Amino acid sequence: MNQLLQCRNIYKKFSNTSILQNLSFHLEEGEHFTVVGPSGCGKSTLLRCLAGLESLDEGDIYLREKSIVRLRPENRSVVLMFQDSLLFPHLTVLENVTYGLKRKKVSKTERVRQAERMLKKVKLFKWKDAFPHELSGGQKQRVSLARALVLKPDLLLLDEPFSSLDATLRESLRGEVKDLLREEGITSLFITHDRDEAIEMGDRLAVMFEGRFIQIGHPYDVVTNPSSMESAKIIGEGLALEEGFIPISKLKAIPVQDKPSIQDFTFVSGKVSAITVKNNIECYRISWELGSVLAMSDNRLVVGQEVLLSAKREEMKKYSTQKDQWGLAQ
Amino acid sequence: MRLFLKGLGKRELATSFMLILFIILFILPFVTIGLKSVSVGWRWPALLPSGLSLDAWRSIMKDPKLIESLVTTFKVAFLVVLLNLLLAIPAARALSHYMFKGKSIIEGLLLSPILIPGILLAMGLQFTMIQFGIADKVIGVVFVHLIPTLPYAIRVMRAGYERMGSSLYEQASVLGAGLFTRFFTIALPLLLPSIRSLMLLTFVISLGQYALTAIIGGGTVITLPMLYYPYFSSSNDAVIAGFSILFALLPLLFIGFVEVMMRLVIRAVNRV
Repeated sequence: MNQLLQCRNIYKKFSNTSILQNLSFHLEEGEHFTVVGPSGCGKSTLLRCLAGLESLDEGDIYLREKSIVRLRPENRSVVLMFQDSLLFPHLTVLENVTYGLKRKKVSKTERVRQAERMLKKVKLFKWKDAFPHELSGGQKQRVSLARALVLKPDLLLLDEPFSSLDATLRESLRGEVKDLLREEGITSLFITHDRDEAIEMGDRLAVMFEGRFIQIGHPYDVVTNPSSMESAKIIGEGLALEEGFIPISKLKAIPVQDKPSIQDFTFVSGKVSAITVKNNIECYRISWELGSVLAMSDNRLVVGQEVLLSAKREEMKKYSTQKDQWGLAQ
Repeated sequence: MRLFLKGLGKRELATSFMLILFIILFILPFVTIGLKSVSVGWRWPALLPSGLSLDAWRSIMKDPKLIESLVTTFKVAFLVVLLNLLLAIPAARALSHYMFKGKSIIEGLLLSPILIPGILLAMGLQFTMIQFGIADKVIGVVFVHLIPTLPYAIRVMRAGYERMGSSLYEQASVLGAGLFTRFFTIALPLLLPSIRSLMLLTFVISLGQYALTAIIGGGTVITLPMLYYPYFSSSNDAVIAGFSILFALLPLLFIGFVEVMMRLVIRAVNRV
């Protein structure tokens, strides 16, 4: 596969606070790349820099081997889809979708044809003459997606586009969006702070912390084998300790009165703070003074019950220190 | 009456009250002045005029300077509105969407003409305008009318830009719209209420300027107020009422014209 995008040593500061620090990565043509990280880690700033809405302090961005850092947003073949749908309120759905095509001087019949095709794909064709205020939140986001996809950009940037929607709608839209991106063959960079969304949306996943990527890899590898405690805390599903990471599947919550078996090692003692169901299995949120984690148990636990979080010592995965070509621990 | 009021809900009662207030404050004076302009000898305490006559209107129309002053008034007001739009729109956008050093100082400077009497500034400006050779000319009057209008124009547009936010602008730019396209396709339609207010406000303020026009125009630039105000010294109430009607109609005509033009432009740029 060809490299579509290359970011080389990019830096961005806002009033002496470093937001992006020596960030380097690449995207393959047709790839779906996800960035996950806590609020304020620089995810949105990264997208704004790629879209041209913010200038870089240092570094370079190459799209199809051409530097785009000096290009204005309107001259980059990069479209950014924001958290809010940002439909133009005075235009109809069809006018919103054709907006970008008109700027590209596509003929009227052609832009209407393309926009209608895209509206059919997002199942909103019959709403083409409606105004944005007549649509629901999910419909607005689908129009916004159609408006972005119809332009067939080299790169589509998605800035937490589902964060304002309810959980059920979010899940159904994720699938729809991923299918559409594949059908249209568009390379995407998706950012989120939701780990499930990050895992589902990306072919590759990057964990971002304090303005730099601390781990990049296949979503499964990143989730099950975090490279550092920060990465484990952000994306890992299990217990993140300084010396290593214990996946949720290996972690057991044992009532304090039951002694752990000889092979088990107790890592944390805490209390059951909530009971939930994950993949049809009853799980318990165990909280202690420094954090909380989901764990399973062989016993039926109740909220407030004191428990020990145990696992076999050998189940703990040590954080990797091996570096990749971008200098990231894998 | 009591039965009628009892049948009304709180909301209807408030609406009726506002409607009555609107009629008393805005419609009634207009009707009274209109009637006054065609009346003969309508004095307190008579409820209605004793006779009707178009003499006052004939007298106004006979004034040889009327057409000239109307043309000059429109010329000055049109240029004042245009300059206000050209200056207030970028200034308001910069003040509402960007953070930069010295922003509060610039804000203060732009709004300061409201705090200092315009006549004081005009006296000072007259000397400069004479040096530049624009005193006693329409362009000089236009510039001096910016003093009482620009601060309001910036305030009105700034409120509009703050309501609109910068996200839609950014969205338009990543969809391929350049600076001017963004303005005509996104900002103009969304800022229409603010632009309409700016135009009406600056037109009316410019129309009402007597002292500033007299100082800078030096009696050679005759706008409608220059013609109209001396009539106050006459005792003919009907003529004054006629001029008042003329005065009130000008902004309405202007805003009607502007409204039609803006809708045509917006429809043209936002077609599919």
